[in-house]
Amino acid sequence: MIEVEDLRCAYNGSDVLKGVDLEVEEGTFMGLLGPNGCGKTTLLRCITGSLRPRRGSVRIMGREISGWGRKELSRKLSIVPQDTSPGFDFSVEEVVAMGRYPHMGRFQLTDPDGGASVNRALRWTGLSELRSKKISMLSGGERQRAFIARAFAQDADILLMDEPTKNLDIRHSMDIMSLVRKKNGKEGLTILAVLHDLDLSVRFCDKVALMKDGKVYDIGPVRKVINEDSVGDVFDIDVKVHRGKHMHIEVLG
Amino acid sequence: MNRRGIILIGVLLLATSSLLALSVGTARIPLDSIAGILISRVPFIGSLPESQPSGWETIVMDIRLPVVIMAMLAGAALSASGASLQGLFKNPLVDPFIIGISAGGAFGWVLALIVTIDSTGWWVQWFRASLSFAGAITAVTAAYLIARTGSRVPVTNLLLAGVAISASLTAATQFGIYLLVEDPRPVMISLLGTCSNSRWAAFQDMAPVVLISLPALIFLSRDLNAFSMGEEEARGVGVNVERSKFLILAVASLLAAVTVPFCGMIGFVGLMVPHMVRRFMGPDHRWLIPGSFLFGSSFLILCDMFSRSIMDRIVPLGMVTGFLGGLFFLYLIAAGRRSG
Repeated sequence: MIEVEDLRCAYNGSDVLKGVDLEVEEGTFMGLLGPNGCGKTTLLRCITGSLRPRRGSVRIMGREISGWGRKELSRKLSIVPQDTSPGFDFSVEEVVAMGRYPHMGRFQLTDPDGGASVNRALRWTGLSELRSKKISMLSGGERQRAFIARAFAQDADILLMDEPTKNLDIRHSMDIMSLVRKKNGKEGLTILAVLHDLDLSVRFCDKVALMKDGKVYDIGPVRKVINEDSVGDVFDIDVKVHRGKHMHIEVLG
Repeated sequence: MNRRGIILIGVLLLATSSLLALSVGTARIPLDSIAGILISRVPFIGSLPESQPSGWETIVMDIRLPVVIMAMLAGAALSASGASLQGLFKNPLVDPFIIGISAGGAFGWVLALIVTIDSTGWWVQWFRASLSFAGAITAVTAAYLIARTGSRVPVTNLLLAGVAISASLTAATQFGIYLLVEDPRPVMISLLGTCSNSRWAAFQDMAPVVLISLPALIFLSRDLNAFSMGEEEARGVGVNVERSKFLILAVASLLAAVTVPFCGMIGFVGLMVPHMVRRFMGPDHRWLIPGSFLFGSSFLILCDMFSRSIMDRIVPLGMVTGFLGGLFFLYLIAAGRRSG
C-alpha cells in the first residue's frame, strides 16, 4: 500500500530524513516509533504529499505520490493530523461531513449520497448521540474521535495518524487505539500511526518501525523488533521488556 | 431558527433599511412618497402622485438611491471578503485591512490619481480601479511571499507581514497625497470612507465585480470550511491547498479593492459582519458567505444613514465603522479572554 524508498527530505537546509526505506502492506496496522525529532512527522508529511522530498520516492498503491491528484489521493488516503483545532465552532456532524468533500464534484455544494457514510462513521466512533453538539463542547477524547470519524467518512483504504493519543489519559488512549484497531481488523483498513506510548503500540500494532536520527532503525513484527537492545539503543535508555500476554516495557533508567 | 428563516429576515432587513436610508437626509421624505416614486419607475403600472414637492423625485432617484446602492454593494463586498479571509486563516480577527489588502488598494488608487489628476475620459475610472486592484493583490502577495517558509505559509507570519505592509503603504500613500496632490483635502476625505459622492456611473462599474464574486466565493466555500480546520486537514480532504488559497486571496482582494476607488477605506465591516452572521447561522461557509453578503449590505446602508443624520453635515462613513469596529474589537478581545 505504502512504499517509501531512500527518502531524503530537508527542512531548513539540513536533512531530517536521511534515506528512509519503509513498506506498509495492505491491512497492516503499523506504528512509527522513535525519539522526538527523529523525523516521524516529516516522514508522515512526505507520505501525505504535503512535503516534497529532496530525493527518493513515495509510492501509494504502486503509484508515485506526485502522480496522484490531490482529490483522487484523498479518496484513498485519509489523515488525522496532530493537534487539530478548528478555527470556528462547527458541530460534530459538520466536521464529519467534511470527510465527504473528496467525493463531491467541483460545483457540488451538498453530498446527497454522503449521509450513509457520515452515519456509519459516527456509529463506528460512538458519536451518533453527539452529532449535533458543538466541537468545543466535547471532551478531549470525544474530539479526537470526531476527527477520526471525519477520516472514516472519507471511505479511504489508508489512514495516517500523527500521535492520535497525544494529550489523552490512558483510558481515552485505549479507546482510540481499540477503535482504529477494530476498523483495521473488520474492514482491512491499512494504518500508519506515529505513536509515542510504547506499551500501547506493542499492544495494538501488527508491526512497528523504529526510527532514529532520520533513518529506520528496524522494522517488522512487534515481538521481533521490540527488545531491550533496540529500544535501549533508539531511545538511549535502559529498559526491560516483559513478554506476557501483553508486552510491557519497563524503563530502568 | 433555521438558516432559511434568517436569510428571509435578512432580505426584509435589507428592504427596510434601504427605504429608511432613502428617506433620511437634509430633506426628510416620507416613506409613502418614496414608495410612490419607486413604483412610478416600474414600467406600465407606475404613475407619480401629484401632491409632492417637485425636487423629491430627483433627490430620491439621482442622489440618494445611488448612495444607498453603493453602500449596499460596498457592505456586501467587504463582508464577504472578511468572511472568506477569516475562514482561510481560521481566525475571526482577520479583515481585509489587517492583511494589507485595503492599504495596497489605497496606494494603487492614489498612485493612479496622481498620474491622472488632470485627465478626463471613460478610461480614468477604470485605470484607477485597476491600479487599486493591482495594489491590493500586490500587497497581499508580498505578505504571502514574505510569510512563506519552504512550501508552507503559516498564518501568523502572514498576519504579521500584512500588518507591516499595511503600515508602510499607508505612510507612503499619505506621503504621496501630501507631497504631490495640490489640494490634498478632498482626496484625504474620500479616503476616510464615504458613499455620499456615488453616482449611477460608479454603480455600473462596481456591481458586476461584486455580483460575479459572490458565486465564485460560494463555490470556494467548501474549501473555506476545510481551511477552518487547518491546512493539513484541508489537504487531507482533497483541497489543493496552494491553489485554493491563491483563488480565495484573489477574490477577497478584488472585493476589498473595488470599494476603495468608489468609497475610500471603510474599515472593520469585514470584521464585524461575518462575526455576527456566524453567531446566527453557524460557521458553515456555504451559508456564511451569502449571509455576510446580505447582512453586510444592510449593515453598511444603516451605517451610512447614521453618518448622514447625526450632524448637520455628513460624517465620513469610515469614521462610523471605525468607531463601531474599534469597540467591537475590544469586545472580542474581552470575550476571548473570558472564554480562555
